Amino acid sequence: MNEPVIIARHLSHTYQSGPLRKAALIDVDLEIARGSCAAIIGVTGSGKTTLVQHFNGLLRPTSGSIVVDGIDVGASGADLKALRQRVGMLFQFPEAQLFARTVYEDVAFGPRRMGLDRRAVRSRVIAALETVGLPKREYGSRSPFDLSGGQQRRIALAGVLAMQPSILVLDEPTVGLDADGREEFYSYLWRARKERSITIILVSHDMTEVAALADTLFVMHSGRLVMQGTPRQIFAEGDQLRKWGLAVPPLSELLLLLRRRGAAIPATAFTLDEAFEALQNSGRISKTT
Amino acid sequence: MMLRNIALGVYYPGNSLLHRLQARTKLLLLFCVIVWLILASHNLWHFAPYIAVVALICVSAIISGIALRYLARRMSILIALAIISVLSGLFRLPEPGDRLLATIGPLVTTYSLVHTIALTGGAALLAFVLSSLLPLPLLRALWRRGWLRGIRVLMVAAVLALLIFLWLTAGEAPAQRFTLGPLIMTYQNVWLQITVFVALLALYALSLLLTMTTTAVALIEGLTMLLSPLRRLKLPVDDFALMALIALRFIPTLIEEIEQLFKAQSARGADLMSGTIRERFQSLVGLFVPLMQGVLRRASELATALEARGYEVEGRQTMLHETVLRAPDYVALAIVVCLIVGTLLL
Repeated sequence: MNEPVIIARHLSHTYQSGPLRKAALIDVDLEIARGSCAAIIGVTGSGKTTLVQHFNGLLRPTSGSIVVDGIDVGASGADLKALRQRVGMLFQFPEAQLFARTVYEDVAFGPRRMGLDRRAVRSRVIAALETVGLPKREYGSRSPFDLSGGQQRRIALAGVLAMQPSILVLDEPTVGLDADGREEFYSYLWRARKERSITIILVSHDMTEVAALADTLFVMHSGRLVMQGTPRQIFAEGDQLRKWGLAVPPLSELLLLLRRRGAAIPATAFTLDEAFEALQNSGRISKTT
Repeated sequence: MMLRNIALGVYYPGNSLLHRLQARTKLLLLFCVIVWLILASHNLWHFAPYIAVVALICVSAIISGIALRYLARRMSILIALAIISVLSGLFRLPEPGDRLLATIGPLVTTYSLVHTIALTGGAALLAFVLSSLLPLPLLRALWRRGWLRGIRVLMVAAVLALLIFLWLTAGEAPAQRFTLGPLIMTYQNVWLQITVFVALLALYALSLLLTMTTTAVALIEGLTMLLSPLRRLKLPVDDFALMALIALRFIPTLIEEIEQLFKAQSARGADLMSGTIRERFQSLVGLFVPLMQGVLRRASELATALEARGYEVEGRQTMLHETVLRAPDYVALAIVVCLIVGTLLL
């Protein structure tokens, strides 16, 4: 495991509105390794969005500490500006944040606010648009509002990538996209990850979607971090997950059912091939089929 | 996160008797109390209605489960203002037929004495107010008391008033005679000030209790039902209700949307608090353009949804959940009416 880039210790957060208090995060301990892809999973209201908003200082911990890329977010003198440049964040329905008249202007907003000169901004915008598959010479001067929903979302992604963050947090990035749009979005995200070697943190309520992408899963339930591990470890606990309102990926579900019916599939089997091999070894399926 | 702190909906969730009363009952009760207090003010030195209204407020606050301390804190500014207005209104020239209660003065002195008193008094007050800023633990502990914080505003106002007085009279010769008064208090005026003071605070406390125990939507529905006789006069009661309901419904949505946008843009480096004016303006544009877009989109979606569910502009509107007055409503109404009649006739 690489050195951790995000370290949370006893992190708690309480929302207060008037006389009402609501504990949204309770005593969360976690470490996310640099360069990895982590997914934070939980049903609506489990505290996952609250958790990731601590990663770039949008929220400060009520108690406990969180250190992101060497910056202590809870410290009173924390350099939030530097933190927000290092931690890019894409919210749900990111296309709602587009506002400029052209795609180029919109993507250039972040780098410009970083105080870069014109040439640096230009090269960053071009590179970012290239990464998300909407090259500047074709899309740069168009209005972002004329593009399709999936394209708008990729523009928003480019707007964050242009700030060259070392960590990228995506909060339910594919909500409201169809299957094709989803796949397309992830393929560009993956390209960005490979080109720029960034740490990616996905927030989702959908296990299936993140199972194939994430190295580490963190499961949140009513403000607490209840489980963490590799997808293989997590999905072996299908019953537990269902208790927390989460759906296991269909394949894991199927393997679980087969195991209950007496098929000799080990709980650690994660892919179709592994399950198949285990069945072959146990002699239930002849090696020739 | 910052917008959450604005006490927009003062609603205080709970399940007390006061919460379960129908909104229209509570509105009707409030209206009765207004009439009550107006009628009571005509009867000179007749304190029974006022004692009853204070008791009513205390009892309903206790029933509602809202801490009296919390209620008092929300009223502190109004209490300070009311005290100032009463003090300043206490002395007035008598009208023929008024009975005099007390007369102060006329006090004859010189400007130099008045100026000395104003200066020393003002300086002492200022020093006392400023002492709240000192980091001494003893002073800190003293200033942590609620009532002292409350009168701090008054003290600042007094210092300002003294400054203005000194400024206006700065040109007078020190030996010149300064005549104060005569200040006259009449029975009628003192009674008027007392009634205004109690009525103001009582109505504010009762409206606070009303809004704290009733959701905004229920309040509008209650108001619509009370106003429904005005339909006969061809007044657009239903349109008013729909507009008010939609506006109320949109407030939390918009707050959420602004918050979300604010977060998204500040994650991209937008910052309204720092940077050049041009940069701040750009950040503001980044907030408002998407917000307006969102609002317009929502509005048109809502219109479509309304039409799809068969909303007719011309038709007569009905409530989704028709409610009838139940026993607690009648009991509450009866109690208050008895109180009113009893204390007025006593």
